[in-house]
Amino acid sequence: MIWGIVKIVVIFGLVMKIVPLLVYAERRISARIQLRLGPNMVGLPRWKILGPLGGFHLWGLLQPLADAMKFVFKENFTPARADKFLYRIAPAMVFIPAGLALAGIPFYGEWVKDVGFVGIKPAEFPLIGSWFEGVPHSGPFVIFDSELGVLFVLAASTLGVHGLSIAGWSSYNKFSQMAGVRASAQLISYEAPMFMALIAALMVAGSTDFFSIVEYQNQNMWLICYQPLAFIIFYICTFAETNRLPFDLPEAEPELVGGYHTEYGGMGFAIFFLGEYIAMIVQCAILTLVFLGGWTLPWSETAHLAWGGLAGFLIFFTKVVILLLIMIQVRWTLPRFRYDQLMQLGWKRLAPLAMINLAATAVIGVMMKS
Amino acid sequence: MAGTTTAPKKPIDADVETITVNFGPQHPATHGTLRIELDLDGERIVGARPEIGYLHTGFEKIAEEMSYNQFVTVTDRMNYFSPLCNNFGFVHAVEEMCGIEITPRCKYARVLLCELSRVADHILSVGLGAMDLGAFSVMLWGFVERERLYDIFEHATGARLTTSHARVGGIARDIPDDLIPRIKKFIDDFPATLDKTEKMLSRNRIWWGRTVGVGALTTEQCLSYGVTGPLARASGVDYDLRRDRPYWAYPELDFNVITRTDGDIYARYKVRLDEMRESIKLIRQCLEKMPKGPINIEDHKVTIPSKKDVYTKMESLIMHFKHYMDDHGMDTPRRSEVYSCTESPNGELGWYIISQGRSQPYRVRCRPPCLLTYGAYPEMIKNALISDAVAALSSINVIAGELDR
Repeated sequence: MIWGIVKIVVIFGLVMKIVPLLVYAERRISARIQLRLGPNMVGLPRWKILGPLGGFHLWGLLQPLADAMKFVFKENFTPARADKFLYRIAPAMVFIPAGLALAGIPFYGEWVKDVGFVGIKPAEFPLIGSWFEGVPHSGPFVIFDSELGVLFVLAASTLGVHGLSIAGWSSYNKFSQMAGVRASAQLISYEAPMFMALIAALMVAGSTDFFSIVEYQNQNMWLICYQPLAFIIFYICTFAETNRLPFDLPEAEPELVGGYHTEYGGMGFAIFFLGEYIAMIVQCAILTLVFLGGWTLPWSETAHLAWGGLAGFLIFFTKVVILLLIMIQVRWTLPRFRYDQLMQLGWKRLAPLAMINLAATAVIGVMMKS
Repeated sequence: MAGTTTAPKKPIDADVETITVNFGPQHPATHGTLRIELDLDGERIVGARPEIGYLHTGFEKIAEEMSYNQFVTVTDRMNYFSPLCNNFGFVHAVEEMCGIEITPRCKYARVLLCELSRVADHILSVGLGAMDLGAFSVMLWGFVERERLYDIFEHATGARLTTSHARVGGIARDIPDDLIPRIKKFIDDFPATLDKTEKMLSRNRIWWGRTVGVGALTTEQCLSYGVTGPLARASGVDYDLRRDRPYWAYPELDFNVITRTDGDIYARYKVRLDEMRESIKLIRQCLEKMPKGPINIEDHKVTIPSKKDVYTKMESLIMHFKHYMDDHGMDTPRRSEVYSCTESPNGELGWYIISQGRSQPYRVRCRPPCLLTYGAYPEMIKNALISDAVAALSSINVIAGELDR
């Protein structure tokens, strides 16, 4: 029980720290691409208690904090003719699935007995350590540990699109409504190739459990070597899943004003925003776990066990962050697809490719077994 | 043009249920205050009715209370993309009306500044087009160059945007000598940005998908709607006033008129990019060929005499006095009407002026290039999707201040 709460606190606490950093990184990287400076001013306040550090700009790292404060104090506007109930719960319907999906993501393999997690031995901390006396010491570091693993995460993260549709419909705004329709149309067109690409990878690994998949990659090669096409298809679909450019159709600003969040301000918008970024992290984590070997390194089977498991944790995060940075880079370089072009890409290009990939994987798999 | 109807208000196919959407006046894609009433079947546009007048300022009426040189300050407020072209276009019309021949140096200086403005306009309109299609970075790359151009304008005219640099019979100030190296440096560096933009977009499959064959106008449509400028040239209309109605130093300079045949957004984008390269060529030639000499004509019934002369010569003092007195000012024909046009970055910028011999015009009417182009807009987006409407709108480069005047 207590172990479960610790896991929830640690994982959510971690992700909630990463999201502002990701926003900061996105703004700084986009600024670099666009020959701007980006946020570089918001830092420590000029308080005497901070001594010489008072007023230090901190490279603008506190900008997300300032933004969050702004969101908190802004008015939560509700259009007069909106469906009040649905309008209010729509942000939650984006955020909760993202959080649920996060629950299924293993951040590191296992609790190494007598070594502790992340190099901290419970015995070293008499006060807190005593809480863990009765805790089974080999639980994996994942909130919701299930053999379904991948399937659970995907099922949960897919639910997020309902929030977008409902936000679009309940706002009583024609542009939002169109965005809602776009969101659901987009869902249909990318999920098929996305899942088929994933199934091909799962067939190679022979499991839907993240731990087994990572273990398989630890024993053999990373799945990206066996399934490069599936990796590319899945990565492309990731952009659509998280509504990022070039597939940010439901919130395409020049076309639909703000898309589904046109009418939202304050925390309503902030929660959409948070949901989107958590979804990004979740998707990149899936990619890392399934295709890029999770917390393992290709040249060493035990590297992730170093430093009491901290190494595995860091390896995993480094890979996720690299994927996230690529997503940011793509967002600030490519133009946007058109609504029908996304469907064409999904159904006419990616879906057949994924299907062929799946069939080929199956045939080769059977041939190799026999 | 207001209320142009291309589709009947009730769709012909009565089974199709359409929704009417107000696209603007506060829509992020309209870059100003435009309003288009769209009838949508899903996301497909079945009818579009552009409405103009949200930025109506009465600029033309103001002219009747201003002397010609005072009105120059209003012309640059009409066009926030390339104010210098409007300044010079207006005084060009006045000069044609009064039969004034400007000095050779002034001719080159005007071409130089106008071509710099053309670059400033095109780089921004290409960038805004890219921004509306999601490639935000291209816009800001263009803005960096535009910022350098603003600095050049500031150096030359004293103001970044509201330049008000033209005077009838000349220019407010001569081109400063230390500006020439700055312009040279700019035209040396600028093609790199163009190449970067081309690298990013010209062969990008997503960009192709969004622009090729979208918002196309045929040659006939361009002619019948009176579309001019880059849009007409992209549709195969080989019409450029700089060549076909030569003015200033253009006949002495060597440049090509860029035309393409597709007429779609991609063609417009390419025409704009190539025109910028031609402009760079023109600027380079201007810098080489610009003669020394006076910038303003010596006829002080038109231009104000120099301060030194005002203090030393009686004739000049009288002229100076007359220029600054109400209802005196410069000599204009007793009864005269003129239509004169120049090639502004957006197309044919025409000025229709009626003079009755006073220092103020009796009536000034502007033919902004984007007004007529905007009239063809419903034609472009017929049966297109909303996303195409956005792309087509930014390819027109509507300048709302000029459109509504």
